[in-house]
Parts: sequence; C-alpha cells; structure tokens
Amino acid sequence: MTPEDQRSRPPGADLRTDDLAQLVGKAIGGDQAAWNEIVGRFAVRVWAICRAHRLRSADAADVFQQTWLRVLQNLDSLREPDSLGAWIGTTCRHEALAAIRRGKRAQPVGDARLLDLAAEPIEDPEPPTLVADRNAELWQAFHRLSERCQEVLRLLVVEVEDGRPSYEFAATVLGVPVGSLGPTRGRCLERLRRYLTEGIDGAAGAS
Amino acid sequence: MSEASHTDSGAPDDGRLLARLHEMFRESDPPPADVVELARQSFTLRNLDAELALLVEDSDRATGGQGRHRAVAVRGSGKPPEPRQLTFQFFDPRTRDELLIAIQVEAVGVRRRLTGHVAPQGAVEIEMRQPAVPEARQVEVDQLGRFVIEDVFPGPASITCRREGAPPVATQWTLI
Repeated sequence: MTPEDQRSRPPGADLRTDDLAQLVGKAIGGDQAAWNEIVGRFAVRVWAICRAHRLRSADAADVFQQTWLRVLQNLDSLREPDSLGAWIGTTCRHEALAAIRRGKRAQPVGDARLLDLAAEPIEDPEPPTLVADRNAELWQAFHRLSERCQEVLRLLVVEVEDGRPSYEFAATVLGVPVGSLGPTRGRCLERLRRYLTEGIDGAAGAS
Repeated sequence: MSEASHTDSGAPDDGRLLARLHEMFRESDPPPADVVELARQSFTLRNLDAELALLVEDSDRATGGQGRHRAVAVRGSGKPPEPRQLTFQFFDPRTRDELLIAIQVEAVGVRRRLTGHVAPQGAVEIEMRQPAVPEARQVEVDQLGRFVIEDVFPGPASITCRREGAPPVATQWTLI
C-alpha cells in the first residue's frame, strides 16, 4: 500500500481484514505498538457502548478497562480477525449490562422501582464540561429521548462511513436484526427533531 | 447494496441530523485520554505463562440467586448488600489438573475486601493484579488455602496462583 492510498482512505475504512489479522498477530507476539493501534482504532466504539448504556463516568471507565483486559486475555483464541470489532463490541456490552445489574443490586430499592430501572438511567450521565455552544441544544434534546433511542442513535453514529450510519455495528452490539434499526432510527430522529423544535420555540420549561 | 433500504426510508434530513449527532459526540464525549492510555498500558498486564481459570459462578449474575448465600453481619449503618460470591475454575482434561478459586467480595467504604480460598489444598502462592496498581500484589495464603486481600480498588482484578510442579493459573479479568 502506498502512502497515497493511506491518505485517500476515509476514516474507518482502514479496518481491513489483512491489516487487522496482522495487528492481532503482532499483538499476540508481544508488540506493544500493535496493541496501541488496536486500542486506538476501537476506543471510540467501546466508549460509545459504555455511554450508550448511560454508565456513570467511573463505571464507564471501569467497563472500558475491563473490556480491553478481557480482549487481551482472549486475543490468541480469536479465530477471525475481521470479527475483532464485533467481538470487542459484544464483550463491552456484556460487561456494561453486568455493571448495571450490579449497580441495581447494590442499591436497596422497592420492587416496583427495581422493575422501572430497566427503562431508567441509573443516573444521568453528567454532561461533559465542554459541550460547545452549537451542540448544547442538541445535547439537551438528545438526553430527553428514551433510553432505547439514545442507545440506538449513539451506536449508529459511532462511525459514519460515507454518510452511512454504522448499522452492522449497532445491530451486533444490541443483538437485534439489522433491518429493525431503520424504523427505530426514524422514530427516534423524529422525536429528536420535535424536542429540538420545542427548545427553539422557547418551551424550555417543558423539559 | 442493502444499505439503500436504510438510507432511503428516512426523512430527507435524517442524514444531516445523524451527522450532527456524530460531530457532537466526537467533540463533546470522546473516550477520556487517561482511560485510553490505561487501556494501552494494560498490555503489560498480560500473563503469558498462566492458564486461564474461568468465572463459572457469580452470585450477581445468577437469577434469583439472592438469599442463596448466608447474609453476613451488617457493618455500620451503610447496610451493604450481600457479599458477592465468585468461583473460578481451571481444568485441564489431559492432566486432570483442576483448581478452584472461590472469592467473596465485600464493599468496605470505597474499597473492597476479598476473602477467598483455593482448592485443592497445597502449597500455593497468590498474587493479585489490577490496572490501577503498577506492581502485582503478593498475598499470604494459609495452609488451608485461605486468603484475605484488604483495600482493593474497585475495578478489574485478576488473581494468579502459582503451585509446585503445575502451571500457574490466572483468574479471568473480573470487575469487582
């Protein structure tokens, strides 16, 4: 591959099988740089999964760390390097759900409340300190969405390749058919647009 | 391509809104640099010579498992939940070498206390590794294979058991 090719490739398109197989092989062989590259490529996805599950920052950081350690521990049993992304994704989801379960069990609450929690955040993820002004409205509107909508949208926009949302990634992580995501996406975006319009119309008190 | 069916069905400005969301998360909620750096550094925590002991039982994962384990005395007013019980197992079908590591995890303030035992009994050395701690921590084990580890940071942890004449065994990374 020439440097010319490298430059012209869009971000995300470099997740090629041969490339990944090589990286995984090197990492198994003890190459720290190859491992760094793997972390670099998938860190945004793994973080997005943690945040899509609305984990508090400390829990998100723990799940993030735990995911990479599990990946490292099982790297040499990976048969299909091109499934590395999906595998990391499901590992992270699994750990995130376990963390949520433990969080619930650690908080003594009534049965009714416990059942509700399935559809409720443990805690609103704190807004990052630097939400740019142009993003502030969108950030607020997004966090008024249902947990499911937030989860689906966050995963869909992890990597927008050629303007196309990351359907396969989201479907794998959520364990749902790819085809089911189109309708969900439409519904969630419609609601998001409504919240945005309400915000602009000055209905801020409604939130 | 199948993607046409996804992109065509949406409202005309769906693509624009998705792109705005993408930009927002990229700018406002990226993975924290220190967290990514720790993930990179975790490469040094590889335990190449050790066999893997899998988590075969986790009281937090069992459905309806609450009450299965005896409650322990409640300390102070914090009313901690029942301690979590973890069991790790290594078994080599060729040599019939087997090792069980049972650990109880209690919350003590913001730290954890691990109380565990290794079976079968025998001379064993134990160390615990955590990404937040640079050096592996040596743990004393009594003659019955029991051990206590105090002041453990919450987060991922792995315990390695070294025995005479048998391969070392490390528990799979587990969030405690």
